[in-house]
Amino acid sequence: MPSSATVVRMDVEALAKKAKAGDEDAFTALVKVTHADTYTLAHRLTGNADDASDVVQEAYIRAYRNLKSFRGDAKFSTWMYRITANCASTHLSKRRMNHHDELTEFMAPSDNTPVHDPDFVVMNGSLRTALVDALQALPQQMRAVVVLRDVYDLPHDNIAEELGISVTAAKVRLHRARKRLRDLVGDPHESEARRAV
Amino acid sequence: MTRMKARRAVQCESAVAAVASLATGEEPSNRRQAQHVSECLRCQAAVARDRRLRRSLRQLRGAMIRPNPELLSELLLAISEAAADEASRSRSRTKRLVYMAAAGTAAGGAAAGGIAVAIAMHRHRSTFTAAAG
Repeated sequence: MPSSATVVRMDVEALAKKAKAGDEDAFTALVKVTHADTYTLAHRLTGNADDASDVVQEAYIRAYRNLKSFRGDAKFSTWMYRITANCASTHLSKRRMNHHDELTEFMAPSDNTPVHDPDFVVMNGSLRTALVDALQALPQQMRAVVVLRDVYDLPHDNIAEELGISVTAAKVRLHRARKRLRDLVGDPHESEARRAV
Repeated sequence: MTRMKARRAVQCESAVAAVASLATGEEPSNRRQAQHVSECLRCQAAVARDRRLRRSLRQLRGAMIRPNPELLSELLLAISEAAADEASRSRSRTKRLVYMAAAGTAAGGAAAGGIAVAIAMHRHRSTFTAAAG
């Protein structure tokens, strides 16, 4: 019997197919099913609720307009993550040009309440909080690569394309971001072991 | 000794893309960097540390951040506005195409008429010249 997550995934792919064929109700249903996930990524990339909401709105409008270009060889969620990453990058670049970046760089996330997930409870609560805080403390460009690669598992070439950088630059940025995270959190393995003693 | 350490550090610094790839479970694309990592204990330790960090980060994937409850209705409204925009743009595109086709037909008709008149005038002139001759 398929798990509930598999059923939702199957539904999403079926809805995406219908929406691509021009079914507007299917697109609405798709937004209802996926918007919390898209918002979570946007929040992790931008670091605050207002920017995340703007990015999600832009991402879905772009998805709606470009639905015909969704080939279906990747999952709809992956396609949506790429659009969201691109929108977040554009949104934050525009804001940087308006010199407002320093105001939000150190803003605490407004609502980080995790929804119940069986896998999620595996991680120690304080380590999770430390990791989330450390991610927020990273400069935006470093945060983007580490979130997209390590949290959302997007391939390097997709990340490079959406952020407008080379694959090598994405990898170098990822390495530096991980090092910075370790400096902020410490080695997760060692931290867990220390807490266990 | 210090010089050796400095040289190794430079090599380690230039192999960071390979370390990032290996920590993610991919083969590095640069063979020289891969070779360096396979011989450098410091880089191998970095790969191991990054793998552990990555495992912890992966677990954040399941932690949703709740959006504002109004976000969904705002999204649906924005999408319906975009759809209406798209429809009106498509209508004006169609109108423009129809106008262009009509203008093209009219221009074509005018050109054909002009040619027909020119031919008729030419024939008339030829007949007149022959009769005069």
